[in-house]
Amino acid sequence: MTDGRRRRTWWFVILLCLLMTGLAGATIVRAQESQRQRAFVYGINAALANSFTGSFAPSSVRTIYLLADQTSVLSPRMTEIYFWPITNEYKASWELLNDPVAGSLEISQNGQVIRQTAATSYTINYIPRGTESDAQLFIGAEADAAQARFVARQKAYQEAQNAYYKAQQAWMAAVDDANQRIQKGEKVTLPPEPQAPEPIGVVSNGVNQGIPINLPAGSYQLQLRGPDGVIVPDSARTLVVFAPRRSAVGYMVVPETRWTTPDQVTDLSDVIVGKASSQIYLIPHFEREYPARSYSLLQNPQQQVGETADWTWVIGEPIKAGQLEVIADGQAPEQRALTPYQVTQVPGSTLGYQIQEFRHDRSRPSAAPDLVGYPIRIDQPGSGFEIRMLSPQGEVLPGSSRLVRTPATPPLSILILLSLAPLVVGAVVIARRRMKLRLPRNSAG
Amino acid sequence: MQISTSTVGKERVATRSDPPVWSLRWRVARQIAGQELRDALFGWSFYLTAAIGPFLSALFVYNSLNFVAASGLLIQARPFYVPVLVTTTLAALYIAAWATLAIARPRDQGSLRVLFFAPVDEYGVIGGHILAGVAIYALLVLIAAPLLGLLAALTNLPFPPLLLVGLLVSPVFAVVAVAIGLCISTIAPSSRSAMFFLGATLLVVLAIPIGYTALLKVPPTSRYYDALLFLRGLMQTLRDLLNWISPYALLSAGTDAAMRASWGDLIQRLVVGIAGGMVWAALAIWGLQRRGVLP
Repeated sequence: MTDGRRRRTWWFVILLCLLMTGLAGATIVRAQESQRQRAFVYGINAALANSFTGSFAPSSVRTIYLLADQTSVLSPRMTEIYFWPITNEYKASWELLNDPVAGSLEISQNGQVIRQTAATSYTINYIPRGTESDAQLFIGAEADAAQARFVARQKAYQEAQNAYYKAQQAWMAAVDDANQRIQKGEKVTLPPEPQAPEPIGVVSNGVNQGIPINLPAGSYQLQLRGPDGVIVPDSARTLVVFAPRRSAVGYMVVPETRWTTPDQVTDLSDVIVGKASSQIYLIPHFEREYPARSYSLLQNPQQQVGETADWTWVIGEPIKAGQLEVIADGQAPEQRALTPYQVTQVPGSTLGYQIQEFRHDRSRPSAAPDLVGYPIRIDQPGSGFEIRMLSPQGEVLPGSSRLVRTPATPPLSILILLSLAPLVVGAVVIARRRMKLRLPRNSAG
Repeated sequence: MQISTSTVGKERVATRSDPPVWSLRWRVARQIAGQELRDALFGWSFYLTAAIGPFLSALFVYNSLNFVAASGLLIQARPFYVPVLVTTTLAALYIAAWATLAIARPRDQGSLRVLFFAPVDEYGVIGGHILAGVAIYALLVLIAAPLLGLLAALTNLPFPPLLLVGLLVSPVFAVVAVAIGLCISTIAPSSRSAMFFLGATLLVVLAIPIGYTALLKVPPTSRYYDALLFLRGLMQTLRDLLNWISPYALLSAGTDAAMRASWGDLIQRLVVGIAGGMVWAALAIWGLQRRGVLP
């Protein structure tokens, strides 16, 4: 093979490799790249019972769901969206494009424009409560004032945190010094340890622009009219505003044996059925019953949910004031107070928990109870009683009554025999009839 | 008292102008109802249906007790709601099947023609069968209710009094089931085809909600449009329609409304049930008039 031919072969191989790498690379790039498109969407901050849920409605979502008589916020925006096949929904690339669309939102019902609202500034403050949080919406000038308060608190917290770090360093140095002096045989009094500042206790989503909506239950049409008087393309949507069918007091039921997996008592006719000699703790909260599909679509308008007439109870804010009343047949009503508890694991290799009343320990000032609830003891088989919540004024909270029962356990054979009673009756009736038919007419009487 | 098949046309004119005809029809209806009720009480199928509901309820309750024994705690959602619904639905299915054969079988056997030799007309026959169907249903419920109560007492589980209200009003929805069965019975060519029609109707009643749920679970084939949108919309409309027509959907919704003490909702369902029963009964009368009494 000549040098020229060898060089040409090498060039060919290199070119082929480059081509293949390029093709493969292009394929990989195409597979990973999501095709974004600029689109008009509604950013949604939908009000819940005591919080807000954020979502967005691209043009594929024709209906937006909101709760009645609560202020939610819609934010008309231009953003880049892409389809995410894994969850079967569009995602927004807010970081690439997040432009508010100017204009006023026209809300109409039965062909009549009932409201025309322009965007205003708003902010939502979230106050953490255990694993959940309570939210507060501020609109217009109140939003700016709330944000100013939040920034001031944030600044004060940062300053307090800096001061705490400095004090901590000084205290550590003092402790080191004291240790050295103790080793030398001196008598030393340690300075008190500095306390960390209280957490800020609020989180803000910043001041944004949006259109507050507070409507009674019903079906509406909405569209955005731009500053030039023309309807913004893709902005027409149906708005379904729904209200709870019922409101009540529900209970989280924490059994002592499995306190990490509590049960929920929601419906008014639900019964707590417990094993004899068991201990449970009840944590009451307000609850509302919504249409399941609407509530699901309120949280995620792109969700693929079945059209169903089912209703769902949604747990709301906890009830921290008042007392639990226990009413048993033939006994005076007994009242229980909300009690804090701490949970400890059973010592040894055996799995299990012990729930004991929480005692404040001065050596651990930051220690918090694991569980705060009303204690209930379930007695012997066949017993039962009723529970209900009393307000601090002593009035019964509507929808708070529930039955607690300890079941008797008859054998299955007894239950089945009972259900077969109609067959026995049938056998007697049919046998008598047949006997009667067999008898000669004159002897049948 | 002189309504005869030979002068049906004349008698229809007489029916409109002569008020005593209605008392005659009422008497005929009562006699037919009494006879049909007696026949039902002397058959095993009645007692079998009466036993199946409590039997399934016993298994359901035992399952709950077993769960409590194993896990220590059970939040019993709506105790005895499912047993009551199973019992009433079975009873309604039984009377629908009974009504489907009520006209078609005697017509096949030729005894329906003989019945019309007596002074009876379509109103009396259909009315009598509706009365009988409701009475059979009421008897089935009357047998089941104390058994369910006894089950509750034996297990110390509460039987909600509002469920009794649901049981009390359920015969109204049973009228719809009987009237639909009679309508099928009157228009079907034979008793076999009548049962086939009933089976097909039940299949459709079951298939619509199941089909709609299945369609909802089919992922979209396109990013830009929903290829199944029309089908989904159609199934949704059919399902919504069915919720107001099907006696089983009405029975379930009525019991649910009673359980929630939602009297407005319950009255709405009852009115729809009564109206539906009247429409189906009218169709059954029309069907009998059109199809006649000959096999």
